Formats: sequence, structure tokens, C-alpha cells
Amino acid sequence: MLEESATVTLRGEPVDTVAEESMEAFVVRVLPQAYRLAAVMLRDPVEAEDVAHDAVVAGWEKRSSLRDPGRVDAWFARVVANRCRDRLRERSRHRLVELTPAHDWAAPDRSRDLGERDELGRAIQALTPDEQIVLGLRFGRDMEISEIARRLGQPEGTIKSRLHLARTRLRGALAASDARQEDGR
Amino acid sequence: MNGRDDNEQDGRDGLDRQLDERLAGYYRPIADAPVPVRLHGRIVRTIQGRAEGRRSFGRRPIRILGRLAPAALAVAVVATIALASMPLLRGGPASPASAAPASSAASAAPQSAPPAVSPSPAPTFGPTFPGPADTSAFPSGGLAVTVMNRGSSRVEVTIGGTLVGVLACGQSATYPASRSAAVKVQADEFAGVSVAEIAELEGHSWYVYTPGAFALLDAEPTGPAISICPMRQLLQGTAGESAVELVEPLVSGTSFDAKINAAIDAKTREWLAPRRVDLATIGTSADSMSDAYSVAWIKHQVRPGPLSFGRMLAITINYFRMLPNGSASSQLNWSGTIAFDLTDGHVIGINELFAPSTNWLSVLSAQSRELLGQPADGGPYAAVTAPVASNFENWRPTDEGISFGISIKRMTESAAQPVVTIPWSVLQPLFLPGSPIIDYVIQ
Repeated sequence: MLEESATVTLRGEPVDTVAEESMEAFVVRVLPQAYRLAAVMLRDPVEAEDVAHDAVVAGWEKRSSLRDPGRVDAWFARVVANRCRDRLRERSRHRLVELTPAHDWAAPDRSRDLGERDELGRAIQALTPDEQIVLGLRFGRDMEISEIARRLGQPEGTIKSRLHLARTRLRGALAASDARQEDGR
Repeated sequence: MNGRDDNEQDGRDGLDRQLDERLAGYYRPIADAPVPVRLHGRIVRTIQGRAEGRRSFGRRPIRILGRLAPAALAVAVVATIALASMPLLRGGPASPASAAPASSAASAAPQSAPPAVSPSPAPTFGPTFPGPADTSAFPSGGLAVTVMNRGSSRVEVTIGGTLVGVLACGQSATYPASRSAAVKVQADEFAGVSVAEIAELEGHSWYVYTPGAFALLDAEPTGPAISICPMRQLLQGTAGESAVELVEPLVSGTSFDAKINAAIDAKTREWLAPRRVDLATIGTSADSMSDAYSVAWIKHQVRPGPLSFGRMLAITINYFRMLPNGSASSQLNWSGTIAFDLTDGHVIGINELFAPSTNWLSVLSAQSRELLGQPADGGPYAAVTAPVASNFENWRPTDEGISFGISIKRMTESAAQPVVTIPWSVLQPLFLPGSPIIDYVIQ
């Protein structure tokens, strides 16, 4: 695995470093951040690989234009977010094949914790791509609203609104799920 | 704000806190996930490839000598990637040494005449590894091994006979492996995977997908890394005591991912539709076969042979109806193949391979009947081997020739689908000069 210690944040890197460092060093420096951003947005490690791959390659090709070190991480976040948004949209178009309940397809035999995790995962999946992205940055990367706004280049109010809507929808979905389980007992 | 509003607000805050804690717990393992080391190599290769302006696909073959032994699954749509072409490949198993026309990987122009045959060195892969490790090729000084394990089984990885790890779903790991050591993947008792030998390891990542499917990809150090992982999940659940998982491949790394994936998805769903009733009855009283079994097994062989990336990409989607205990009753019910031209992403029709002036359909028909052991009129296979193009739409190049999946579903729902492989020596005279198949040259 690439060690965590290989992670070097983009912010604050000298301009010349970005422009002149070797390609290998560039990849090592930016990949962990790109991958982890994609991972929390997509919640799928393999898809995250693809997005990180594309973002890092694009970053390398545009490195000479990324003169402002303070904007590099925001640039990466936006590139990753855009690609993740596309994938989340694509994902939403390919839902699971639904079988009729009459066939009584039981859920996989998992522990309660895993079941709850799956339930939450499904609820998140039902959110809009933008809501999923904000949620991932807030809870996966522990970013404040102002930081999310800066990274994504969007107003704080927009981020706050998405977060609020996401929470509301999640609460509703989870409550409905709980109610269904209660009914089934 | 009155007292009631205050209470409601407090209640909402409490719910928010609970939800936030739950979300934080949900995202924590995702955020902490290590970066797969092979991703580093893949990116470096992509950048290097672009810098060198290489748009040709694969130049070196990979060879798997091994097999996937039983893996557990009840029903699966598994995707296997086979093939693609390379500029010129010689040195396959002994077979009539017909001089196969070959063109360079860049011979994208469909109508270009095949160049003169010229000698080419045999592929360098072999049954043994060439020497001690050159770990400098690996970003972290070792061999990147990725095991895609989506099932309930775990996979133990041994290198040189030493257990080096147990991998769970989607994990990848790097090991200080020696190229001289055979890499063996041995699963636990529930799903055995044995890859006896893998040549050309350096610079490659490989994946074993279990249960039921495999892929060997991300292969070309200088070309684009084509991947079929992840599998897009169409359905997952249990039926009775059997697990059911339906997945389809997602291709990435080509210039036409979306186009290719859309075609795969459409075809998969087309194939899946008539089977939904079948799926729904597994493990129910309507299905007398599987009710009694708590474990179903899949047996799948990774056939030795070169896999590489070139102008073509052929994806075979297999539907397995698993029967008990890993016995011979495990069954491949049907198979469908889609071949893509990576120069533009279009689905290659069988009629694009052959010169119209030849009687290729008659040849395919006659050969199929012969290989199936049927009389010239086809016997019970008459309809499904008749000389019409739709009977031969499921085709896939292999080492030996082109394999055709016979549309057995039009005959019986329960029988396994026969596959016939018509040798290259028979087919080559029929090929249209410049057709995509020309790049895939195996004598």
C-alpha cells in the first residue's frame, strides 16, 4: 500500500515544486488526496481508483497552469467532484434489477451492524450526486462547510443547504426503513 | 420560540447528532482505506504512455497458466475478458503453421491490405520465471497483487509457498515477491483459487475475481490500462439457502468506456430478461434441484493462453446455473459475447470479419455441425447452426480459433450451452482484409 506518510498536502507547496518535480514525485504527492476524496464521494474503492487516476493524470498535464499553490487542492477537489458526480449520475441510472417481493428474496445473512451500514449506504445512494459529494466531504474528510465550499468553488449557503437536505432525506429514509422493520415483526 | 418549539428543536438536534455519529462511523473506514499501490503504477504508465504519444494498444502478451478452482456461488453472470490483439503473435501451440496475415497494432484503417508476413520472435512468457526479482519496477518495491473477491469466500495469497496474506473484498496488497517465485493464490476451503504460474509479472497487476469470474487486466505497462473492474452489480441476494449475484463488467481505460459499457449493459439486460423467472425460482419449491443444497459451487477454468490488449476487446458474459457440490452438474447455461473495436468503440458484428464474397456462413454452419458431432443437416441442431448470421453472433477469438456459443436457449432451457471453436486455419481464408480480426493473429 502507499503509506499514509507519503501523503503530502497540496496546500502550501512552493509554486516551483509543482512545476518542476518529477512525475513520480507528483503522483506520490497528490494521489492519496485524490483517491481519498474520490473514495468518500463514491464510496466504492474501485471507482475511486478510476477517478483518482483520471484526476492525477489531468493534474500532471495541467501542472504548469496551476501556478497558485493555494488553489491546487481546490482544483483537485473540483476535478474529482466533477468526475464523481458523473459517475454517481451514471450509477443512479443503473439500479439493481428489482425482483417482485413475492419471491421473498431475503437480505444476505449479515450482522446487525453490517445491516445498518447497508441500510445507511442505500439511503445515501438515494441522495442526489451533489448531496452525496457534500456528505462525503463533511463526514468522510471531516471538512467544515466553509472548507467544502472553498474546495468545490461554491457558496457556503449552497453547501449548507445540500447538507441540510441530505440530513433530512436520510432521516426520512432511515425512519421509513425502521417502520418497515417494525411492521415485519 | 415557545416551549414546544424548543422541545421540537431539541429533538431535531438530538436526531441530527445521532445521524451525524452514524454517518461519521459509516465514512470512517472508507476515508481510512489505503491507496492501492497498483494505482500508482497505472497512473505512471498512463502519463508515460501519453507522453510518448502511444495510442497503440498492447504489445506484450500476458499468459496465465493456472486455473480457478471451485468458488462458491449459486448463480452468477460472470464476465471474462479474453483477448484483444497484438501486432503479431506467433508461437502458439502446435497447429498448422498457416501464414497468418498480420498488421501492426496501428492498423486501424479497416480497409488496409494485410502486410506481408514477417518473422516475429515468439512471446517471451514461459512456464518459468526468468530470474530474480527486479523490484525497482514496483512503486513500493514488491509485486502488486490484487484479488477482487466479492463473494463470501476469503482468499489466501501465498508466494513461494509462504502465506503472505488473506485478502478480503477489493483489497490489494504489495509483497516483496521474487519474480522467480511462482505466485500462487490459494483460497480457503470454501473457494479455492489456484494460479499456478503467472508470467510477465513485472509491471503488471493482476486480478483474480472470485467467485466465478476472473479478469487479468491492467496489463500493458506502456499502453492504456483496460479494466473490467468493478463489476456492476445488477442484483444480489439470497434465494433459499443459495446466494445469488448478478454482475456485469464495467470497462474502463479505453477511449470509449461509456459506449462500451452501454452496449454491455444493454446486452446483459437483454440476456437476463428471459432468465428472470429462472432466477426467481431458485431455492423455492418450484426448483426441485437446488432446494436441498445449502452450498453451491462454481467451477471455472482459466484456460492457459495469451491475453493482451489490442484493437479488439471481447467480453463474454456467462450465466451459470450452479448445481450442488461442485460436481459435474455445475453448468454453464448460456453465454453471450460482445466484441468491441477499440479504435472507435463500436460493437463488431460477425459479418465485419468475413469477406462477403466467401461463403463464410456456410462454412461456419458446416463446421459447427461437424464439431457438435451432428450430421450435415444439423440434426437437432439444424436451426441453431443454420447459415444465418444471428446464429453466430456470440463469438470470441481464442488461441485456437473463434469460439461460437450456440444459442442453446432456443432449444432447451436446462441444457448447457455448447461452444464450438472453429480453427484459425479454416477461418483465415475467409477473413476480410483489414477486418478487426486480422490483428488478432494466432496461427
